[in-house]
Amino acid sequence: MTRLIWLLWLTLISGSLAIFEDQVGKLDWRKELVGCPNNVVFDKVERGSDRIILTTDEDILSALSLNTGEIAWRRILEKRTNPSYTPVVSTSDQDYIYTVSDEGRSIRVFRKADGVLNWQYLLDEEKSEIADIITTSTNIFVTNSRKIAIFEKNRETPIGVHNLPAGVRFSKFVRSADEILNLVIRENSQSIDVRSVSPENVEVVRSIQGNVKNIEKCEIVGENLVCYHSDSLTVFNVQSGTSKDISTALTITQIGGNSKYLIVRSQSSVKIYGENLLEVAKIDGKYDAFSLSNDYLILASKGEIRVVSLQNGNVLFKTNLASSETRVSPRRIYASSTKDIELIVIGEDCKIEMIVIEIGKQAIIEWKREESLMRISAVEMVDLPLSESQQLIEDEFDEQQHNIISAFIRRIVVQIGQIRRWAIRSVEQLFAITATFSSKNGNGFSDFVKSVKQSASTSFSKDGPFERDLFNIRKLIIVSTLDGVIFGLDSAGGDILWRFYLGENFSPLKSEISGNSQLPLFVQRTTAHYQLNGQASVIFSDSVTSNGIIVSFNPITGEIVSREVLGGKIKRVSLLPNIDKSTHVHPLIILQTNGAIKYFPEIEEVQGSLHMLDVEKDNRIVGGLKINLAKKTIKKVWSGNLGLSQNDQIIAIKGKPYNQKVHSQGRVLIDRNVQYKYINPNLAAIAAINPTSQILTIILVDVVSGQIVHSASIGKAAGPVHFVHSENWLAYSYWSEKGRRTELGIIELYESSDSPSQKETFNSLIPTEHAPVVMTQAYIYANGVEAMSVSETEQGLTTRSILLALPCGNIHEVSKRILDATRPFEVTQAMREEMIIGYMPEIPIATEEMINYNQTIHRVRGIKAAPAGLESTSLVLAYGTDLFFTRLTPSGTFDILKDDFDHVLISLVLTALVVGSYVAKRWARANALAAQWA
Amino acid sequence: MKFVTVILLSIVVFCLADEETNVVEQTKFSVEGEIALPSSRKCASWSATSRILLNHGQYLGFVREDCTFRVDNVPSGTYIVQIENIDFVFEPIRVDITSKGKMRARKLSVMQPNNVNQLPYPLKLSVRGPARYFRKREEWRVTDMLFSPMVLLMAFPLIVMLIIPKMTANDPELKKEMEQMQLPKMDMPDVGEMMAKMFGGGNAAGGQPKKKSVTQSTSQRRK
Repeated sequence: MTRLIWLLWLTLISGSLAIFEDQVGKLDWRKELVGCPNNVVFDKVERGSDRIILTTDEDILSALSLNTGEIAWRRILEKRTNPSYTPVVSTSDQDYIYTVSDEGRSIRVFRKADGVLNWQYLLDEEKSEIADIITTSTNIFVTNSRKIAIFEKNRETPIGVHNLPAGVRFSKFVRSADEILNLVIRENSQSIDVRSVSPENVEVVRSIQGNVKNIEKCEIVGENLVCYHSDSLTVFNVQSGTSKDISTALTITQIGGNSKYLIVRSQSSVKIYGENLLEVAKIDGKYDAFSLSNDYLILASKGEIRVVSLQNGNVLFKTNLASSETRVSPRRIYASSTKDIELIVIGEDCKIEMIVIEIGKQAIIEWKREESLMRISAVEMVDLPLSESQQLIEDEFDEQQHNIISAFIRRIVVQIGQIRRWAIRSVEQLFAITATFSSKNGNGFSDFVKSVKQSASTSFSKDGPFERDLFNIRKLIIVSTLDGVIFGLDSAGGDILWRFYLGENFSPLKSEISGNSQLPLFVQRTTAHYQLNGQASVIFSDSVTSNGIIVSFNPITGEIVSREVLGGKIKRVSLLPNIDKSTHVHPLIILQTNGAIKYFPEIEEVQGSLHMLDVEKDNRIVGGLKINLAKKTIKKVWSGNLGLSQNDQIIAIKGKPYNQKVHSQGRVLIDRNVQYKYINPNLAAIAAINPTSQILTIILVDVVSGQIVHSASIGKAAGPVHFVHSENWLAYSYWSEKGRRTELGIIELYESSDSPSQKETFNSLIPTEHAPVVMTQAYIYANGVEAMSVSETEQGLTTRSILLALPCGNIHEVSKRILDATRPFEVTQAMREEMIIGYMPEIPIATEEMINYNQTIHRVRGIKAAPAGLESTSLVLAYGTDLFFTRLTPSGTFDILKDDFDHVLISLVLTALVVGSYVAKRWARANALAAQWA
Repeated sequence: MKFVTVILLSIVVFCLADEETNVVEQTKFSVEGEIALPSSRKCASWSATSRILLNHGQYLGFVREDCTFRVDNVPSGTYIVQIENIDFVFEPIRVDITSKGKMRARKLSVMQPNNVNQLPYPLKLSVRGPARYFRKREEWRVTDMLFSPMVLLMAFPLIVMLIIPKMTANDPELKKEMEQMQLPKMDMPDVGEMMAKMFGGGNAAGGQPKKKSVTQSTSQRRK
């Protein structure tokens, strides 16, 4: 019976969380990404659409349409554990793509048309730092640092595996005249071994004498192996086994070429060597990348693309790309030429651009993709600026003088302004509609519908004034990426409104606890002060001097306001809760490694003190720092190891957002008493794991006083551990070795009933007679967890939802009512009336509860939730291999009409009632009259 | 026939394993299986968007055109096998690999991990159902409206009010009886007049109620 009720209840809950099918794409959007490419292959087919096949730094294999840049298919392969291992290497023929993935261990063959796996083979059980693959018409040759394997096409068992000697640092194939050769350089070896590789056998044919110091500076160019060292070039001829040294009189930064030409690039010029290594031409100028295609050499720099003839070095075409100041130097370029030259440019900021060059005419950027969005570090959502009319209203009430006439005039002005704005908007809409009608080319109805849709979306995102909407649902999402690009995204459709690059010397900061790179982003002044622009800042370090740099910008326009270089390394950075009275800016407090404290921007009048948690990860010492803001001194208030043992590793520390609003102070018990939440803003949660004894320790410590509020140990636990710290609770996920499953734990803190509750302001230093009441519970979760977050709403009244990113690409919304520490084991009648849910060990996972339905997103790095103007609504951006944004209503849309609200029916009923009442009135009157006459 | 091929295959696998153990102690194994899709979907297109996850992504595998898959390089241990896709819901399976490479598959039950519900190996995964992500919109149906409690509450008395007087009209005796019962004394408010009162403005509000009761009782009596 209880089970039945439970099921019934579940269907009710799941029903309220899921969305309707016709809401798809209305409230949400997804941006699919492929990552920063490290190799691009043009795939031109006679029929249909040309494609490019990319392998990326993020170990993703994908095919993009060459004409539009849209993803045709994408396969997410194993992510490298360490960047020193080999990335995905691929080669392709007519129908298939042959790859070496999983750090050089696995050979996988994918169908080119749709990315379906054809066959696979495990080459090696160990990881490899190098890998190469090459195909002939009948065979596939694969090598890593230990093996050479030969396959027949379409057969997944090798026809021969040859083991290489130990210590191989370089192993690559060379396609020589009529055979495939393999070149191997071993550690501390004075020679290069050349093996002839054929389906029949693999044998060493010759060995070229020569000392190769740095194998990173070696390339296979045509049929030769070319190595460079400062200004000298060594060309090893694989066929004859001879080597030749030439001096280029340039400090070489890159080499490349084909079987005929050798290209040498230095900081200030590019040289072309032709047959017999004779210099053909020298092109002066600073170029960052080059590519060869047929007889063309394409050179690219920050703002210029130049096409040069390989035969004589003559400049055939030159173009300046617009706005060279905002452009970033290219990292790699790939060219393909038939009639025109198609050029794929990959910038230092991981932007992919496709440029079509018509020689002698023009160069057009066909499309671009921002792939640095795959490596998002921090996200903030900023309110849009007040609209003009909202501003006028603000002005009206801001004014202090109470002159009746001026107030009246102001009122009239405001109203005229409103009318004018309404008129302008309707005219604009009218124009947009007529434009769509006139642009209709008669290509059928579907085209027309598409164009109407497009114009509707563009008029929403571009033409309309960029201002706050009625419910403050449209926001500007600021995103900082680890490639040093800051983006401003429109939350309405995910369009990039502005972007800027932090510069060539950019290097992200490193977190001491997790060891991850970070690019912290702070909103110092929101757009609430409408007379002043907003201000946001990012902090990073200089890759050369490793000094800290702060770049602050206007979050709405992306204009850089200032760039300040600090005189030292950054140890810690945080936003001060204090506000500068005149500028309304929250200053940043920066602790430098040399012990100095800095504010940004500098403020004079600052009082009080700030408490910080100080963690020495390796020594497991946690301490509380008290910073005197005026005197800029640091004092250690408390310190200790919190009972952590020798083998414990601190894996995560989480405080609470300083501006979190909690509007429901307590929880009503079944006996009508109120249990007050223990809301301590100074509480930090520390998670430590002991890999040997498999114990996960969670400690809640008050940063100000050093008091351990709660400490818990979970046995037989392993990572990954994720947690969410909010209000008076902490939810965490871990892998239970005992049950072989993921478990979710929850700790809730309530004030003990007899201690005076600190409802207004919490003070850590007021001693309490009793420790807070701790309630804990654990639940079974039948899936893995990649990231965990919690919804945020305007006032904190709405029941929160916990968001769990699953490895299969979904984001699961679990209401806090289900992941609750106070669910009773036995539900009495009174509890049932209060809709209290009894304890069930498992948290059910239903596909209806996936907020991103079938719009899956993989390798989720984080989920950012921000409040909208409506209390019911929370805005959520999940980021990983894709970006996914949606609106969340954890308790349903209780403050707005549902979008399926039947306006027609209700207006029909209303009019019918009004008409009916008039008719009835007449009828009644006539009746009454007749009755009187009777 | 299929059974025979399975046996043959397993023999082949066994032979291969045997051969390798002679050379080097094998420590890494492969998890193999096949997916059975409903007949409406073909694997050739479906497998482009699916992956096999072992222990929530610790090991990865891809599904081939013919719906088979193999996850390589897996050391001995216990693994949860999941199929990542957007169209169907699959039953998760637990696979145990012994240090000698013996495979054992069973239904995954997170509630009772020690409960053994053995499944055949190589794995055979069948679809539990299509993945439903959306709620159905409530469609407006006449029956829904008619049987809603509000409508029933309104309609039933209305019917009684309208039909019973008609029924009694043909039978004078019953009519007399009804009149004697003095049912109409309850002074049922006239819907039309109520509306008129509400929407018809305040001018009539003062005088009308008295008249109303008069007219009502007279009209009743006349019937």
